[in-house]
Amino acid sequence: MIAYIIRRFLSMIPSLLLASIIVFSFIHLIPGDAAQVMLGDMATPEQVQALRVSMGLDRPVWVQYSLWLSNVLRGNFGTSTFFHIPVLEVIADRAETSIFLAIMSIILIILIGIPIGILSAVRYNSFVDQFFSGISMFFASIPTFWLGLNFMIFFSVWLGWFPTSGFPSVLQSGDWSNLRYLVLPAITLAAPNSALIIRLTRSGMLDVSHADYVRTARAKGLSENSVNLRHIFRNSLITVVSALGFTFVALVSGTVVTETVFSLPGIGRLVVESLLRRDYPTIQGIILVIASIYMLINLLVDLSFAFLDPRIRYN
Amino acid sequence: MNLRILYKRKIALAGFIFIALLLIVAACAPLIVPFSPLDLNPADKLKAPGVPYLFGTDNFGRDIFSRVVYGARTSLIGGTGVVLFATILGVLMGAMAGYFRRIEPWLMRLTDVMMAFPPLLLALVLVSILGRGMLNVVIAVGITYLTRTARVVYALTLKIREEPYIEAATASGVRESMIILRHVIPNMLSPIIVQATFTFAFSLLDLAALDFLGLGIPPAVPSWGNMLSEGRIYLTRAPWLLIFPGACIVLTVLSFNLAGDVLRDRLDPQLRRNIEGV
Repeated sequence: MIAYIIRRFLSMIPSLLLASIIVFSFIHLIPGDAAQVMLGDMATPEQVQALRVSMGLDRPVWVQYSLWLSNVLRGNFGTSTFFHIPVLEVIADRAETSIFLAIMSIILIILIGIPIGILSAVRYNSFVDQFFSGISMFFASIPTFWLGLNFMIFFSVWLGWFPTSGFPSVLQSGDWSNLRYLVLPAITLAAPNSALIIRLTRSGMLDVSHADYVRTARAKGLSENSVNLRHIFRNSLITVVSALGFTFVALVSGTVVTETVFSLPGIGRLVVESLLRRDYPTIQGIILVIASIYMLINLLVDLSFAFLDPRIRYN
Repeated sequence: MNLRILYKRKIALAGFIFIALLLIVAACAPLIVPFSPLDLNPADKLKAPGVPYLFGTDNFGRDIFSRVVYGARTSLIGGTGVVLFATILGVLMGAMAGYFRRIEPWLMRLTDVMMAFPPLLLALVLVSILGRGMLNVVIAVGITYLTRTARVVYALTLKIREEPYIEAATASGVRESMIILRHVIPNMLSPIIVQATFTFAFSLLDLAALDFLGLGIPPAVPSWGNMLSEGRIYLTRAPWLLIFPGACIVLTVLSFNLAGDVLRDRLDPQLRRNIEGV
């Protein structure tokens, strides 16, 4: 098992390298002079030249890449061309909002998606199943930003239950009631992703519902609840867990939109702002961090299979 | 079971009718609209829905109904572009990876890594680098779906290349490129069509999100996403700026999802999981 974990870790290295090459190449896809584009038309030729030298843009591409990579490996993602502070600090400043938002949405996704998925599978083809499959297809078809705007009109403007936008820091003020600012964004973010989890839980359970051990469990007189939860659901957990891992990318995409709609000071909005400001070092840093987290999550998902399913023996 | 299929078909029929209607509206846009979608009319700005402005007017006094009709055109062109780009390249890449085992590890590693980039983020970066414009937006969104299509096609090719008719073609000396084009690809057309339908539905959501974030089609072009982006600040004063274009996106995406669902049941029930897993 330990050997497997180590090997699985090592196999991430080529993927990470490839990801770093893709992220690195962003700057070189910019038509024209990258330094000029980043600084805009107002910059003096001296400023442009200074940025060109400081980013190493005047050297051969492979030298640039190896310098950039060795810096990244030492935790130096470069300097934001807008804030003029290290990229990692810019990201860290915005991390709190996004982390709280992600945790709240994942809790919602699990609490909504899994029970409804189980119910739909157990009551396969019934009215309940059709009702929820209709609802989940509907929520999978709504643009996240439009859903957020509608929630804002309805719950914040008309009913006045939640604040419309912004998020004062919880960690700095120590005031946990600030989390109410994130309730609507979290619901907005959770809606389409819960729909996905409902569908995958349902189909995962239906896949195993005709297995021999399920028939045996019924034959020996176990109650329906016990068959459904302890035999069918537990065996479909692998599908559900890998779906949750996959949800991460969708969550990040959703975060970009949701944070913009609700004006939250998070990483998602930082992405859009940095793109509009052409602050490419920041963009590169964020995307590389996100891709690494995704690969790490997938690794954890794979490892969790060994615990969820004792039949899986890695060697 | 029969009941469920009948019920599904009724709703799906509504979806197909909506898609047909949308195609007609988009094709005949100039004949349908009462006003030009670009005409500014400051005297009539932010008018509520009624006569003569069916869906109301925006902050420049432009007719929302006319803009929604032209927006249908923009959306359909964009979605079609993404589907063509992703399907043609994805099918070629996937089939080649599945047929020529040498390039398989490279391609699979590349698609694996591409999956680690959130689709919307990648599209945003590409548009910001390439510039706003229909073609750039289509490429930016299409790249994500390209890798997904490639993976589905790759899995199918692995199965098909073991079929006797491929062996027969190889034995009779047909060139490999001909085998892929004439034998492998035509034999997986139905799952490709199903995949393309879902790609269309989801790409419309991405295209709208790009417009909304200000990194999509140029703001001068009437598109549903651009209308929502501009109407956002009038959230409380003029909700009709948001209701109509938003509802159009939902209905269109929903119709294509319903259509895809029925096509999948009809054309190829075994493939359900392969595509749902994406």
